[in-house]
Amino acid sequence: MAGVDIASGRPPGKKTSALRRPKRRVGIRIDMTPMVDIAFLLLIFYMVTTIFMQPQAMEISLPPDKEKSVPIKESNLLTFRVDEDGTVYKNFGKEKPEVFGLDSLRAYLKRENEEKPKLVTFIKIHKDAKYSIMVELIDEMQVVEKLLQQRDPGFSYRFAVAPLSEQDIKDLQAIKTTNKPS
Amino acid sequence: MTPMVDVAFLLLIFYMTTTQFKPPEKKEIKLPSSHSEIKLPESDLLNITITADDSIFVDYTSKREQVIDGKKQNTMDRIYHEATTQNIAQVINTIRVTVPGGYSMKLVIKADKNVKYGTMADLMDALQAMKINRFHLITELKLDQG
Repeated sequence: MAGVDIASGRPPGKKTSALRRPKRRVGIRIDMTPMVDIAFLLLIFYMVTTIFMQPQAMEISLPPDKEKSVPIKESNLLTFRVDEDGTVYKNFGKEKPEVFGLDSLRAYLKRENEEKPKLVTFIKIHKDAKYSIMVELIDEMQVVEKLLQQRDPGFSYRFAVAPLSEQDIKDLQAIKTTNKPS
Repeated sequence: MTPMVDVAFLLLIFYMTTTQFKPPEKKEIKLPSSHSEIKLPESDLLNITITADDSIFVDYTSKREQVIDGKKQNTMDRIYHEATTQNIAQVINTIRVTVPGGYSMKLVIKADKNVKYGTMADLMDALQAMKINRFHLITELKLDQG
């Protein structure tokens, strides 16, 4: 087991000269196995506990002046309304909101932005909806912005986020009840 | 065996020097995911954590080099406060005043993906009222094509 092995004697065959006094050297062989075991144990521990993934972050800029209003042409206003259960409705201007699947969101936003360069996207989210849906929507818009910037470096996606108003909640409720029988 | 042990030790030393332990958190937070890849600095961040049950914590960690007894030492400051959407402005202001360089630090929101949007809306309103118009949301990297 662990211990120090002493090699027995000197290698044979060499005669020490009479002038030099023979040095008594002992060959030491240390059993390294336990040390290596511990080293591996520590190595595994550090490998498992290390977090390499630095957190990623998403930048959000809010308008500095809250009260300032920007006039937008109705046909350029794309509104997404998010219900408390995460259903997304979209509409243009004063059209009737319709259910929208998020799978085609990126392609849709890209197409609409190419068609209407002055498009403004307005996201209204129910206060009880999950925050992740806001992140998802803003993220998709940032992806689209990046895609379009490849062609036009000056492009910036204009969007706003706000909670759903009482009127919106009522409207969505009405749409839901009419949709149910079908 | 010697070369293998050498490599093992090398790796061990590498991991020992690079490891940073996560500061303890009150509750586990499941992050939402996005395609954004902005990296954040490791210190001088004002961290606002929102847990899944909509409670808010404000956390400030900074690493500074200080001279203590003639020796340079790295010190860590950590300020930890619980907050609500009503008093968040006050909490942030007290931290900004007490900490050197408090007005230049970045604000980061780390919210669970199941947090209600209403809480975020209130928080963003409060930040906007404080003229903090630029902040970061911590997300996980979403891996897909595009």
